[in-house]
Amino acid sequence: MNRNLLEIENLRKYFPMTAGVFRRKVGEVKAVERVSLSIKQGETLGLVGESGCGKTTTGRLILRLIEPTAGKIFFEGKNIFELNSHDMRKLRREIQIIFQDPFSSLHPRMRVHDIIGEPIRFHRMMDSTQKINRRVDELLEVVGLSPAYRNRYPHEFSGGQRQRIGIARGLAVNPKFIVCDEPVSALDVSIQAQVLNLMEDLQEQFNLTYLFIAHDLSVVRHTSMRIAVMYLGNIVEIADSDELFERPMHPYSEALLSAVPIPDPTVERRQILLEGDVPSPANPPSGCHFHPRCKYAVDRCRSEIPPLRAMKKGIEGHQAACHRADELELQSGKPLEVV
Amino acid sequence: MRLRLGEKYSGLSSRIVVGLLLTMIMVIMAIAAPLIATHDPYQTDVRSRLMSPGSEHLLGTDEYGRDVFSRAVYGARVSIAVGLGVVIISTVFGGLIGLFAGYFRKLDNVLMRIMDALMAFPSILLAIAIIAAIGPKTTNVMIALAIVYTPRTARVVRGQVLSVREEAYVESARVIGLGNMRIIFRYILPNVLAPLIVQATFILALTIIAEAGLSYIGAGTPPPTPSWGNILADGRPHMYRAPWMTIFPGLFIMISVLGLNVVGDGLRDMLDPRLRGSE
Repeated sequence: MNRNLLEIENLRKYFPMTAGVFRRKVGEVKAVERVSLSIKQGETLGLVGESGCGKTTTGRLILRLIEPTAGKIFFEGKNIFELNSHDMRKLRREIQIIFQDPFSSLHPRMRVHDIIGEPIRFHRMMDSTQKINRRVDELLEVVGLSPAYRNRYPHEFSGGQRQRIGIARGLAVNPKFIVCDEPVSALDVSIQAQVLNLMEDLQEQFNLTYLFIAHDLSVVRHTSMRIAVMYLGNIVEIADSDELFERPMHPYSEALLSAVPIPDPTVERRQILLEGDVPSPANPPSGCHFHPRCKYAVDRCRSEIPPLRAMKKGIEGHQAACHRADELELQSGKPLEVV
Repeated sequence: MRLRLGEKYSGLSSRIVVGLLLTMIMVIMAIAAPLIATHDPYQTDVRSRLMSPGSEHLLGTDEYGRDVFSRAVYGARVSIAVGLGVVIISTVFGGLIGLFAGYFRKLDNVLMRIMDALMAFPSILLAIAIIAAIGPKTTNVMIALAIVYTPRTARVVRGQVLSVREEAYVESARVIGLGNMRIIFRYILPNVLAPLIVQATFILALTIIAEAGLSYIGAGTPPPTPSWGNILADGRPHMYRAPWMTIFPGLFIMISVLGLNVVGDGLRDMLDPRLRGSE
C-alpha cells in the first residue's frame, strides 16, 4: 500500500497529579503509556477503547495541543515535537480535528462564515474578502449545507448540521490528516450514518487520512481499514478491520467485540461480561494491565508486561499484546447462528 | 463579528425597563444639572437658613441657606462621575487580570493571591485607608474605589474564563494555530462578557453608596462641592429641625442604587439564567 503519513513511536504522556498550594507532585496519571502506531496515506485507522484509556490524549498529542512526556510523532518524516513555531504553523494546515461535541466546538458568538473563514484568514490563504466568502460557500456545499446559512449563528443549527460546520472548518485549510475524535457519538443514530457517509465521501474526494477515535466498534468497523484497540494507555491489539472482527487475539478485544449489538433478534451470542472496573491509570496493575479482568490470566500475566508482537496465526500485520495469544481460541465477533 | 449579549432572549424584561428609567433620572440630572437646578448650589443666604420645602426652595435649604434641591442635583454629577470612573477602571483592570489569571494557569496563583489580599479588607475600610494615604479628592475617591472593586471583577471573570477555556471551540482555535492573545480576546472575552456587564452594574451601585459613605464621613468629596454624602453629613446635626436635608439626598441615593440593582438583576437573568440567585 502507500507510504506512512504518520508514525507514532513510543509515545508517552503522564499527567502530574498535584496537591497543595505549591502544586507538589503527588503522582502521575499514565494516560498514554507506550503507543506506537503508523498510519498510511489515505487510510482510516480506528482507535477504540473505553473512556479514559487514552484515545483522546493520543489524538491531542498528534495535534500537539499537549506536549508528550516521551516519544516521537513523525508526520511526513518530521518529528512534530521538534518543529519551531514557524514550521508548526505550517503543520497546522496539514492536521485538523473533528470534535466529539458539536455543541461546544463552535464559537457561540461567531457567524458560520467567520467560523469557517477563520483558518483561511489566519493562514492568509486568500487575500480578498470575496475569495474567502466564495471559499466558505464552497465548503458549505461540500459538507451538504446551503451557503444561505453563512450568516447564521451556531445555535440556529441541529447537532448534525453543527457537526458539518465543524467538518467544513477542518477542511478549510486543505488538510492531509484529520483526527476524528468520536465525531458521531454525540449524534442521533439516524444522523450518524449521514455524517459517516459524508466523511467517507470527503476522504475520497480530498484524499484524506483519518485517525478515527471511537468507543463504538460497529461505527469503527464501517469506517476503518485497520483497527487499534487501546486499554489503559497501551495498544493491546491492532489488525485489519475484518481480521480483528473474525479473529480477535487479545481477550480484551474479544470482550469488546462480544458487546457490539447485532440488529437481529433471532441471532444469539455469548456476551462476555468483564468483571470489575477499569483500574486507575494513576496506579495500573502490574504485568499485563488487563490481567485483573481477564479470565485467561495466568501467573506470567501478573508479573510480565506483554509486548505488542506480530501473531503467527492470522493475516500479516495482526499484532497483539498478550502472552497467551497464540494458544487461546477466542470467540470471533461474528454472531453464532442459531436456527 | 458582531457583539451579541444573549442568544435566546426576546426584548428587555419589564424589570430592566423600570430599573433603567430610575437610573436614567439620575443620569439626566447629572448631565443637565445647570438646567434643572433652580438655584446656584454654592450660593449661601443667611436670611433663608433651614427653610422647609416650598415654592421658593423645592426641597428646602440647609444651614447656610443653600438650596437642597440644587445641591442634590449637582451631587448626582459627583456620584455618576465617580461611579462611571470606578466601573471603567475596575472593569478594564479586573477584566484583564481575570482573563490572564484564568487563561495562564501559572499567573493564576500570583494574581489571584494579590486579589485575595485586597479582598481580605472590608471594602470601605480599605477605601478609607487608601484615601488617608493619597488625600480626599474626587479623583482619589475614584482611584481608591477602583482598587477596592477590581478584585471582585477579576474573580468573576477568572471563574468564567476557567470554564470557557475548556470549551472545544477554544481548542479549535489552537488547532487552527491562533496565538494566545487572539484566543483570549477573540474566543474567550466575548464569552465572559455577560457576567462582566452584570458585575459592572452592581459595582456602579456599590460605588454610589461607597462614595456617599466616604463623603459622609469626610473622606470623600470635600465641601463645598456638593455630593450626596456630604449633603447628608451637613444635615445630620439638624435632623429633627430640618429633616429635608437628610431625607432627600438619601432618597436620591436609594433611587439610583435601587434602579441599578434592578437593572443588574434583570440583566443577569436575561443573559445567564444559571447565575440566578447568586451574588
